[in-house]
Amino acid sequence: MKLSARNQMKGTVINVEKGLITARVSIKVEAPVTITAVITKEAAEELNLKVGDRVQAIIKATEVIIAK
Amino acid sequence: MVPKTKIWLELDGKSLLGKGGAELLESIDREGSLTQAAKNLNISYRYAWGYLKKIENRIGRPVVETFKGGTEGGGGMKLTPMGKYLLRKYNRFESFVRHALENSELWEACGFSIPDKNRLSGKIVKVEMDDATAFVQIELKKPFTLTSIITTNSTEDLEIEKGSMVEVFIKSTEVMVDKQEQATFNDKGGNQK
Repeated sequence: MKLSARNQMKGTVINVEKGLITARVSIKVEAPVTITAVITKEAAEELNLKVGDRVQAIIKATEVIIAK
Repeated sequence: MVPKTKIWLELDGKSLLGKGGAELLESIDREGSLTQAAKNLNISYRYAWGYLKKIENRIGRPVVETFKGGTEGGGGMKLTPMGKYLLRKYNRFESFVRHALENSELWEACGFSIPDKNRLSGKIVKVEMDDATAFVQIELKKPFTLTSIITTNSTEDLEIEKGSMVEVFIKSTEVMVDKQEQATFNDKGGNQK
């Protein structure tokens, strides 16, 4: 199966908290990995993003898809 | 620091059904057997039985009933209409609260950022821009832990448990970039300038 998602990484599940409907899964990912963000040009300019900057990549947990 | 919520149903000021009770009813409903339901939840049959009796005493009506026979013989257990009603009420309330909890605007309105966010520190290694969008590549040098919220059904379909080797996918349009110092607290008050 091939997916269009740019960000693909391997990891190990370290915890699963199951609720009635949703489950919270914690995955340990070995570094280094490169993550790609596609944001608006305006946002990149506002933050003045350039090579070498220290930044945080923020991802809502509901947008993290798991495959096994 | 992470804000947390718990939900339960009360009757006359006394706890009637919480997360554990709802899981027990749900499991009985699915399995048709108290033995199997208790096993699924890693609790003893005795404890599960006591739990059901406690709910029944509070509400004054049975929430489960046993039946004889069935395809494998030996009988089993199922929810009464009252049991189903309670479970439905709990699930509706749980879903209502969960939707509120997933709404980052509501969190922000009371001064918190949504707790289920992954914040990964790294260094930009590439920036490319066209007319409207910017591609930003961030190198993460240290191992990190990602939190994923998926349906409980999916964890069961995929047999995801501690130690499972998995692959993680994230659409790059779902990755936000922040240049602030990493927040120590989710409480915005903790890192205001």
